[in-house]
Amino acid sequence: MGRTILVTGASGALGPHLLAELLRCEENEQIFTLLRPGPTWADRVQDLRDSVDALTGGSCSPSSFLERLHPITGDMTREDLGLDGRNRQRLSSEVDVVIHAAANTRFAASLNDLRDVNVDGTRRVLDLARRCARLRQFLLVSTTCVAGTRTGAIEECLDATPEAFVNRYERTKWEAERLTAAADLPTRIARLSTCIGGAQTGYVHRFGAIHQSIRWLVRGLVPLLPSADGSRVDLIATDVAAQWIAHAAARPVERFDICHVAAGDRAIPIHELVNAVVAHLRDCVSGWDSGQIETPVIVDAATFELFERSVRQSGDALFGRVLEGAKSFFPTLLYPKVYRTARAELLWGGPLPLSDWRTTIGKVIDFGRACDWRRRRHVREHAHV
Amino acid sequence: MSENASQVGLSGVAGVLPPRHHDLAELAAAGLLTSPPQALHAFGFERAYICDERCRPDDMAIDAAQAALSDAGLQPHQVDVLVWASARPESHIRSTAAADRSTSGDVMQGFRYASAWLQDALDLHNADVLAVAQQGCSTMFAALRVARSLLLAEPGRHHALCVGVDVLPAGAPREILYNVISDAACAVVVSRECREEKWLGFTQLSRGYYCDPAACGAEIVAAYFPTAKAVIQQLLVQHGLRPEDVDVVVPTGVNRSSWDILLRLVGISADRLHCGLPSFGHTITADSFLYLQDLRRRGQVPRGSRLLLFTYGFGSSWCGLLLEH
Repeated sequence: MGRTILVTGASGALGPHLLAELLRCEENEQIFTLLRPGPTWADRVQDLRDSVDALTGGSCSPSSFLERLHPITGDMTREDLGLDGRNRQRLSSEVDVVIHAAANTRFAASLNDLRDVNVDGTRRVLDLARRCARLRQFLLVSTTCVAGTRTGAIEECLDATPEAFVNRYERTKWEAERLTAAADLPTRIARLSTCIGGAQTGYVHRFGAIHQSIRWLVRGLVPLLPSADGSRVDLIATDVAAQWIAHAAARPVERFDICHVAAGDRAIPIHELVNAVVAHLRDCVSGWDSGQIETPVIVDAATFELFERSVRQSGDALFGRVLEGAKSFFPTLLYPKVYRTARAELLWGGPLPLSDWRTTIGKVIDFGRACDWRRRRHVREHAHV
Repeated sequence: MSENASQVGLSGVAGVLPPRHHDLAELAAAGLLTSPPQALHAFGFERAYICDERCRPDDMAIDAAQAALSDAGLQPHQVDVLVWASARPESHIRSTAAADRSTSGDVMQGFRYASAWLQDALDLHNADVLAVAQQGCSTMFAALRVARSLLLAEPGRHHALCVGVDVLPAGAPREILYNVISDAACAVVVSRECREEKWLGFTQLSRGYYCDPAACGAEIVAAYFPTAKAVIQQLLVQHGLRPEDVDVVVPTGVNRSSWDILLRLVGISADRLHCGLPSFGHTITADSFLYLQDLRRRGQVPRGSRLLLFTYGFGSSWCGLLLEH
């Protein structure tokens, strides 16, 4: 039986990859996406279509898009998601799977702004989902970062509040999980680790905190990286995450399910990651190629704190930006943890199809450099293998 | 060559600051700082020593050279080599009223070398004269390296006097990359068969990628710690030493917090850092030798202690020097 799916966050980092995966499956007969209203709406719809088309390698014909993909205006921050009566009625009567991927991922945003989208926005989507008579699954795209400062093995379950969160974004995503768990709906939570980009292409639809840190690193502006002993960086290719979610959307869910879409025990030791990035830069970036730029030093929390304090005291604007961008990502390295992935693998039917991370990282760096780490409208040559 | 003959050390060390200093508030009021005084104070800076009409660069250079010779127990005629080692290009040419009046076409004024003047002023009539330049704050380190190599290569020579003086132009800003800059001179006598501050090793990493400090200041700041760590580790490894084998770290006058970070990076305990002098800021070439002079005068460091000196100079070069006290 065919499915009708509502996807929020379609224009985010994961969105186009997810739509491409969903469109590949013909059982996903109709896909609604919410896009914020505004004067650039038509351009954004076209951009989304172009991105998805490129990511599918042009395998979805334009007519297929028009028939199956339905962008409609909606806004996470408005009551009833800003839907007009006709669309609200249509969604309520037709949707049987909701994939809620919209989030404010600006780590430096205020708690109020983050809650407005990540918590209250989730509440609004849940309200809509409750009105969907055919609903079979509400899938919340969350993050492994909800583990906050916890260390060690992180199970695929709702945990008590962590002692602390590294940033406000984590807190609001944790709150969104709690809200979702309390809803009386067939719910699945997919906690994604850091989505780095397309496995084979390096394509990144929207650059995130890790990409900004890589960008500064490429410029030789990252002298120190904080890390605890045994710290690993859990990265997955964005298209792998999208494949898993598309797969999960087609699988029945019991009352409640949490899965870690993560590298798990295959996460990369920080030293290996840094060395691999540097090795790639030495192949292609001026300054790195001649060995003039040294590899960043991995340091303990106390040393990094001294450095941070020094930057703060100096008031240096550029390093302030480097640290601000890194603040949301670097500190997670101080809390070594391994995400359990058994439930995600059970649902997938085996180990997650992780890409060769060295290849993916190299491709992401090449892609970022090619577009100067900015959002790129014309993606076809980069998105398609 | 006997073992003693191959032993080269620093037999005389001297640093000279101008008598007049200005605190951070005064410097800020005069518009000579870019950072707030409280930020610079947090980095350990308190004042800058600045030359004026009562203390000219020439006077400081002579004072430093004479003090170093006295420290080494040498007379001027015993100096075999004079190495002029100032960082600023302007410090290599003597400024005179005639030179100041000259047109840019008067190329002869450009040959008024400070090294030749100093040889004459100090009556170093047995000394060959040369100069080291383009090493920024590591210029004196490079001069010592050149002097040592020269003494080892030419057995007939026993003593090399290295002298540097760096004075910023009147009214020039007194802050560079979050460091408060003082004027100063320093002089070091490098001697054969010397058991004081015996030369154990030297490592330099030069990175021409950072050749334009005005254009890549941020990149230099970022490169500072990783490259400093690399040079110190190389130096220790080359001499079969572990971080704990370093007894005393002789600092420079740069941002104090940078030393806390650097020592953690290389695994040397913070209590090995030689402290004690009131803040004099960063003097470009003289910092390490003002501190080394202080260490020698105090006489509290046991003989045989291993001293680590480190500096960074625009250009860019990171230098580490190991001495046995």
